[in-house]
Amino acid sequence: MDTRDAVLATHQQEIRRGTVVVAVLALLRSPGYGYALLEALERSGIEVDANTLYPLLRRLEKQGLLTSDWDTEGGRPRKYLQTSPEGKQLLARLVDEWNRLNASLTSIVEGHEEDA
Amino acid sequence: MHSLVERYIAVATRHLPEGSRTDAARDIRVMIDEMVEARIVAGEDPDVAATALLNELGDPSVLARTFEDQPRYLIGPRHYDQYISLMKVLLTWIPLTAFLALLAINVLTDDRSLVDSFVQGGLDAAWTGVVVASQIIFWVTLTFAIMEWAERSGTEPEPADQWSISDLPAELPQRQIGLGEAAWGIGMMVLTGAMLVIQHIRGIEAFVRNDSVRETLDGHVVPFLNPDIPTWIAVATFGLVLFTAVAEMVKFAVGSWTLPVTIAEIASAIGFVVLPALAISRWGLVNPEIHDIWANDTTKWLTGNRFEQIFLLAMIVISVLSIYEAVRGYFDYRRRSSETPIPGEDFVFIV
Repeated sequence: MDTRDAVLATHQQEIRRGTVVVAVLALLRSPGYGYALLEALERSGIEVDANTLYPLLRRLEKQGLLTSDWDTEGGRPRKYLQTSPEGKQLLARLVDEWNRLNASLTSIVEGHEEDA
Repeated sequence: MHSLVERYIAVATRHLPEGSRTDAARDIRVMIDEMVEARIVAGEDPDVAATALLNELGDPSVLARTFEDQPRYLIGPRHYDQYISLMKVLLTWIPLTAFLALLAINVLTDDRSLVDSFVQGGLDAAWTGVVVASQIIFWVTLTFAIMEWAERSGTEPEPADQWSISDLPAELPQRQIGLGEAAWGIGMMVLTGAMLVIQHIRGIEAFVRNDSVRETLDGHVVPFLNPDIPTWIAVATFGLVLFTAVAEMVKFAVGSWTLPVTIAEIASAIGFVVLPALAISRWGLVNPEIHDIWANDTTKWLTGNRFEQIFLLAMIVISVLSIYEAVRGYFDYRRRSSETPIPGEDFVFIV
């Protein structure tokens, strides 16, 4: 049943893809650095690989949704990231979308047609 | 600190665009440093941690691509189907035609035994087929890659909300220009280009195996075209051949007689009359030595300007026909899409 597992994995990945962005923008409302974020995501039950997360952080930063600061005190310099005001606005919209989708899906899965 | 990490980052960012290389390198370094640190904190040996991590991260250039959104294809989905079908037709018919034609010439004009000339001529023709095939692969791929690149770096596509129902063509879009037509056009250009080169480098000996002619030639290279024709005419002719071949590919990709396609077709047709006419009027098209050869043969009637006249007349007829077809195709295309303005006249870059 290898192919079934592969199919499942593909669909799971499709569902998860956008959720990481929401989680990242939400967690980084207070500043944090990459690895700490990775651990926080893991603790919250969101599985993401380092080589997915770091490129994602870079893209979000380029889109102006995250701001970065270098902390050069002590040991090696660390790159701290924080959700920008623009990122917070986007986060609010995404959370709305998430809630809407969740409600729709719940009602569809439970078999009640939603009257919008 | 870790020369291994330095090397990994250098390899990873080597192929990234200049502008974002240092930036991407810094971000990749942050990731590696933080991951290594975490491993050490977790109790791993500092010397082993970096090696183990880099092993896990895998091929550096693959990693780098996830850090930089660069298209990872040469020919995108928009042209993929046309690219493949054009390639299939061209690679089937042109090398095969070249092979068979050359084999026939080799066998018919060779005075050695039939088996010998079949083997030798077959090998010769097969090699030519391979060379022709690789030329086709190269030029077709290059043309499509440039089209892809031009569209990518051109203006942003119109946002979807600017589209309205009236943008739909009045009738279902029908291909005006088929694969066969494009393949024929490109094939002719490949053949013309090859003939021009061969007649110059190897002389008419490459085409004629008649014994008496070979004796007359006595081993020295006699080009068919007049060597006095200046280089710029030759360069212009090659340019025209290349332009026409590319225009044929674009024409096939677009599929209709849009204005740029029509203009390119007309320009090419005019070029194929003007260049030979210029050469004939100023220097003579055919090498004077060829006239000597013709004079000694049953081909006496070709001497004087007779060959040039016939050739030019043929070129004029062909050109007029193709201009007629292009103009007719253009008006047909206009008529079909007359209900709505012609959408954007795509492939702006060709004009």
